[in-house]
Amino acid sequence: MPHAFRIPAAAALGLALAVATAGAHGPPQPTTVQPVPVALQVHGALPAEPGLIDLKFRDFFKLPIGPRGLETTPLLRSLDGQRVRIVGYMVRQDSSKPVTGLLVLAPLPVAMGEEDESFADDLPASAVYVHLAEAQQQQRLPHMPGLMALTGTLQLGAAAEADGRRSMLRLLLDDAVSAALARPANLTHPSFSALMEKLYEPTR
Amino acid sequence: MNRPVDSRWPSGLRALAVLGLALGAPLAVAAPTVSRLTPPSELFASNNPSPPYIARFLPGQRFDLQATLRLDAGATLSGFQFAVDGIALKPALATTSIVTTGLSLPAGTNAAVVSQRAYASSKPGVHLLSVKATQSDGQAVTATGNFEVVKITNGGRKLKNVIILLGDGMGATHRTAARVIGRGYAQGKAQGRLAMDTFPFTGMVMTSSLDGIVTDSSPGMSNYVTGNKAANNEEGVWPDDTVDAFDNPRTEYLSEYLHRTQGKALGIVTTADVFDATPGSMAAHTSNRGNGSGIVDQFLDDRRLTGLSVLMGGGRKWFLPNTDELKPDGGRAGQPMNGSQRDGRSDYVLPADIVAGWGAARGEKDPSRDLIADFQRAGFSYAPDKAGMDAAAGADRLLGLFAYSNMNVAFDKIGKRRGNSTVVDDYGFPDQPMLDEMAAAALKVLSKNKQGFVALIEAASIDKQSHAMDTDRWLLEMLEFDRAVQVAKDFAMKYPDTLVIVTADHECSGAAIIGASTKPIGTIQQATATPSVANLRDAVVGIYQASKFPKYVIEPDGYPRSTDVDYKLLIGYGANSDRYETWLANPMPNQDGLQPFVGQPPLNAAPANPAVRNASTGFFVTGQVPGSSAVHTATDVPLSAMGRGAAAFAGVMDNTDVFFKIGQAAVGGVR
Repeated sequence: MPHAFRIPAAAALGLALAVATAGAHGPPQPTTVQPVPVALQVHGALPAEPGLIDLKFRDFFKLPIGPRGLETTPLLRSLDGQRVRIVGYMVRQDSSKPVTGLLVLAPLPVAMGEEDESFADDLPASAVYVHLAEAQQQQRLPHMPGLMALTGTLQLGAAAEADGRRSMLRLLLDDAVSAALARPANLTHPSFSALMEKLYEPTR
Repeated sequence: MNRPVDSRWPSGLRALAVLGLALGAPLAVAAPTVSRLTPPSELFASNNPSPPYIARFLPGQRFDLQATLRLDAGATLSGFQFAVDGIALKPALATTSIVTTGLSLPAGTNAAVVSQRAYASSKPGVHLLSVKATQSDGQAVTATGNFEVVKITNGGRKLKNVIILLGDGMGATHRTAARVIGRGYAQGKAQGRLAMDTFPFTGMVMTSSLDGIVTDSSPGMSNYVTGNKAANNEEGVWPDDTVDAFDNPRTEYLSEYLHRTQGKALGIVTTADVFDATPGSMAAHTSNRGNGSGIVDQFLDDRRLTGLSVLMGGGRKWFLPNTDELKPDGGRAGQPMNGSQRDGRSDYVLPADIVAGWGAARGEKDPSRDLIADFQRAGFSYAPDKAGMDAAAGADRLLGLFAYSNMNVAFDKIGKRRGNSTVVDDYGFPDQPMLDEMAAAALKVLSKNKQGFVALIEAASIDKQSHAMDTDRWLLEMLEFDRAVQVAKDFAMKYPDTLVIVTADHECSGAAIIGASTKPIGTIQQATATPSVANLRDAVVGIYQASKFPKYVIEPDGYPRSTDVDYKLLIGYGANSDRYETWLANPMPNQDGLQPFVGQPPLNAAPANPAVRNASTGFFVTGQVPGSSAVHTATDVPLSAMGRGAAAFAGVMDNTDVFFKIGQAAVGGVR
């Protein structure tokens, strides 16, 4: 099995700590973990906000998938440059290659870059690269397991990202959302570490 | 102070150390030294000249020679020379190299990796391989290893076609369980045999890789078709000391050898993504099984080396051009987002000595490549689904890409065909062929080649569903696989110069038939409302004579009407991670994060992994391995053979032995 992905049920713990993870090509690196900021947490249906479009991952691509690959929906294309809200999980980044100012949002919990075959093949096609606002561009985010609702401006089209990958979709966060996401938490709990490792350990 | 010579040191290093001891000199390790000599041998590693020889070859089979030289600080390499049996080799033009940068050795190490590409020997017997290197101050070092060229006996009739049916992860348990489900037992006797059971010769295969008692699928397959031990994660190569995953010392594949010497074609059929470790290990040369772009590019680029004529499976994402660049003005290049996973980092460019030595395509880091179009330009018909595959029945070459990543499994494909599952629709690929249908289409194309063919037909998700400990899904994978075995058997009956081998690359999950339920299925279903060891284990698991002979109703499509039957077969796992057991079929497969629509309704209702699956309905089983997935085991796997040369496959054999048994039948013939 190339990979397995885990639901971070541990998100409910709402705790923060440093997790040591072994990258494929280097010594263990610390990955900070903290809960999703309360303002961005998702519990049930979100209330509609005037002027804000809720974009769902399932609305990105047409079904069935075509002979020449995925095809974006008219809805997705119409939202290029628009302000949208997307609910998803923060992808757990390769801890040996820290980047600042961005996170990747996916429809399910994904850990990337933790084993040899992962670097080429570990992100869902619908993954969205989320860029923090200018004020937080130099900040490296901790990992935040659990559903989060992010609001910003949608941008379509391939672009090179700071982590060396190519994004197809980007969300340029609203300033307030970016600031909330980058605000540090201060709780710790030792059992969270083991649980996170268990939930995210890749398999072959 | 003198220290004992470490027996783990390579012989070259030890020889120098012994010299230092003899001279009474302080044991600063003398340089230069040889820290790696390839092909690998016990003579070099442990100074043991005796068999079994680690590296063996068919007469004329090509392979690379390579050594890693450790130089004194400030010194450079003046020259190197490989010799076989004391006779210096004369490499062909441009087939050697010296690499001193991009090494994977500790920073500050002064080393050089020297290579001579595509060497071959036709002289049977054990040969001494030595390398002599001289550094800039005139100091020299020599290290010696060995390899064997296996003798082929001429006479008899040669095989024309080889079909390797590979049940990935399939151990004896998987076979037995499929027989119980698919054929039934009564009073201790099987009421029928699987197609693979009917093969006249059966043996056991030792599956370890070069660097692990437990293999992954890369060496698990590669070893069968190179005759040599690859390291885990590596395909058609040996390990080296460079970072580049495409410059490793190569061994010639069965497909390459038989295409070069006999003009045979190659077919690769899998239910996995076609870049996956097993199909990749039929034709691609890389030390990183994850290099999807480079692996699929090599399939096409080196078709003149391998004779590739059929490639079918999942993995469409590697074939789509990745060209959706933003323009400076913020506009787009025009191509819609297509989900391409092509990426320069997983692509390949070969060094000049490999290109010159092997005649291989140089390659290019070209994420914008439209590989489907390139296959079509090379004469391949492209089938995106079963209807397309059926329409391409008369094709001379066939490319089938039936899914974005791995294909859906038989449990869900059959569910779709019976109208009681939408999983394949929800994945976005409603018309995926079954493996037996793919096998039949592949053999039709391959049999057009008058010189014969080498075919891999892989049931990849026996392994993937065993990792997931999704019993009912791997059981149907087994039945699907056996239907493909029947297709190959029918072909071999029609064309008797065909050798058919059914085996596995390794066992997965430590699966065991522990017994059968003592309860009707309804009782188990009720017990999941109050799951506990008492309710679901002690009250349900029947062992020894308490396990009767479960009866499954097989529909005309060849699969059970349901796997949730009264007194159903029960499977345990000896290589398991933490999980919850209900004994019931799971309505949805585990989430596969590589699928575009997984994680979204309705697929978000699928379990993430066995560590959380059925957490509220099953009893907890503590894992013996960490993580949330069962693992491969080192248990020997069964191999069954029929057709030309099949008699050689009885007994216990190493996985590399399989290559030479095929080679005997293909090159020398069998009586």
